[in-house]
Amino acid sequence: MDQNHSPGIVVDDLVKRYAPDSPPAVDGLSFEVRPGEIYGLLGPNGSGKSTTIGVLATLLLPTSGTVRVAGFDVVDRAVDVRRRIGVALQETGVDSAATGRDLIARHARLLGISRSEAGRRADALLREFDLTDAAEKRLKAYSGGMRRRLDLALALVGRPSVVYLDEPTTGLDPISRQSMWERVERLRADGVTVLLTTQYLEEADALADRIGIVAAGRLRIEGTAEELKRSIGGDVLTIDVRPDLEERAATLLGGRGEGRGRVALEVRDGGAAVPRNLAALTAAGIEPLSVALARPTLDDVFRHVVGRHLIEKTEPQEVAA
Amino acid sequence: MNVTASEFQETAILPASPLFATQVGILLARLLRQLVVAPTTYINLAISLFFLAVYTGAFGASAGFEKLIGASFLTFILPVSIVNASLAGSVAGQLLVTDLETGYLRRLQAMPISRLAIVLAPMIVGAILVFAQAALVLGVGMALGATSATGVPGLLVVLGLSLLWGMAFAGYSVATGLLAGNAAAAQSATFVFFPLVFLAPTFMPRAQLQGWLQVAASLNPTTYVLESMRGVLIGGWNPGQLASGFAVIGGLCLVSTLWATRVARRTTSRR
Repeated sequence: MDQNHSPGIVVDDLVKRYAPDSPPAVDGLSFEVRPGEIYGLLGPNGSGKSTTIGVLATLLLPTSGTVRVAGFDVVDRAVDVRRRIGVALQETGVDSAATGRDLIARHARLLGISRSEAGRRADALLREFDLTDAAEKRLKAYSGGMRRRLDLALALVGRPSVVYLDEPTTGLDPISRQSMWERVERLRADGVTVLLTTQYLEEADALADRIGIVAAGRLRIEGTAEELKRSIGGDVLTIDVRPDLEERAATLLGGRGEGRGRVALEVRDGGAAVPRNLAALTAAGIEPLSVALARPTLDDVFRHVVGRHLIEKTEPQEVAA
Repeated sequence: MNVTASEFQETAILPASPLFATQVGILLARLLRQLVVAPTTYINLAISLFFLAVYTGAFGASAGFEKLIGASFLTFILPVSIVNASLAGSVAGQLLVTDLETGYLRRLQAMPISRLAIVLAPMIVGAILVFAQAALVLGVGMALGATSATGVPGLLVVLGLSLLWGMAFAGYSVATGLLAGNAAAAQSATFVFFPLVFLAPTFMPRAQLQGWLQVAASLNPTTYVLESMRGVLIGGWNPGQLASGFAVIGGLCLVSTLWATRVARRTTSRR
């Protein structure tokens, strides 16, 4: 299919400045979400995730670059984009005076769905998200978890081909989170393209087909969770020393201090690396207090890519295949 | 831009976006439902009726004054309560800014609906509320003994003037509320109404005002609204007076609506 009309999401060299002389919130970001794929967009606070979703949701105009959603340019064909997307953004609110059923049905009506069909969809979505008992309650009586479920229901009422989920499980208890994950999995089964941002890395690990990590408005690394974990080396060796020796130990071993005397480093061969590094510490007069060896997690990838300090200094890495 | 085959196929299974009027209607129904259950809706009405009772009770006993104005004091003061009821138009700004604060406006902006519909709906709600409240206050006033020298057509003129006055306040509240960015500011912006009332021939004819107050009253648009209303209720048809009243309040309404539209467009546009 012609690239210009491929469904999914194509972001090409996106730059967004809020004022001509302000630093870019998004600085040359490029990524693609394939049709039917769940793509996890991760990054620290202020990395440009929300701005990117704002542009993708046609709420913000890009300063430069092109963005196509479901085959349509977000600048020239914003209405076409809006007809095909479902949006569950953190900063979008609900009408607290309305009931859940009213809100969903009204949302459907604004999308051009007939009154009777809007009512049917509202009932079906309320059932699907376990909100039937609260259907006639005003939203001011809804708990945070119920509101998040309603948010997702609203995003799906128009049966969109592309859905943006901005931290969909923030503030949810573990059971509600698991239930939300299952619902997102069902979107994959339905062939919906999903762009997911989350602060829970295990969520991205569990749900996303591919993950992109952004920092300072640029994509730093991209790939499947496994590719990302492999990209930072083999295993993660963690050694605890006295807190006052942490910095010296980190420098000596070429690792990074994680605070409270903990030093972490990525090693290719964990088995051989343990005695070698312990010996190096002992030789330098630093007594290891405990040692642990683990496979890298997305946490490690995130820390490795973003760094402990200001991310603006981070140079782009080679993108995983 | 030409539509490709794949786009056409996809469009065919999507419902068509609702007509502009339907969009406004859906948003309007939502806001009206909100207002019906909101206690604040009835507070302004109660205040208008309260002032009508207090003014009539406090000043209405003077036969000399009634001789001076050529009508009952109730008829003379009724336009003040109607103008006060028209302040309900400020609800437009409060509704819109509340949606801005809660993030609901942002949700609407991500939908395939007209930005103008999003702004127009609360302004129409403001107008409907003004009309309903002004009509109710007028009805209560007539029931209590106020009279209309021009009959029912005069009452309709009074309602028309109050509607324009309320629309002007609706536009003003939308603009100031969106500029300030919070609902409390939208509500407090209506306090400008009070100096406008006290710098107008509220309690006595303009000719009876003295010195600077008379000058201030002649520059105050409220004066022309009150005088036009009193004209049809007390003096009979006076085309010149009516024309000046409608011109002033119509102009004010136009300026206010244009200002509101401009600010609202800036607030809701993509940047």
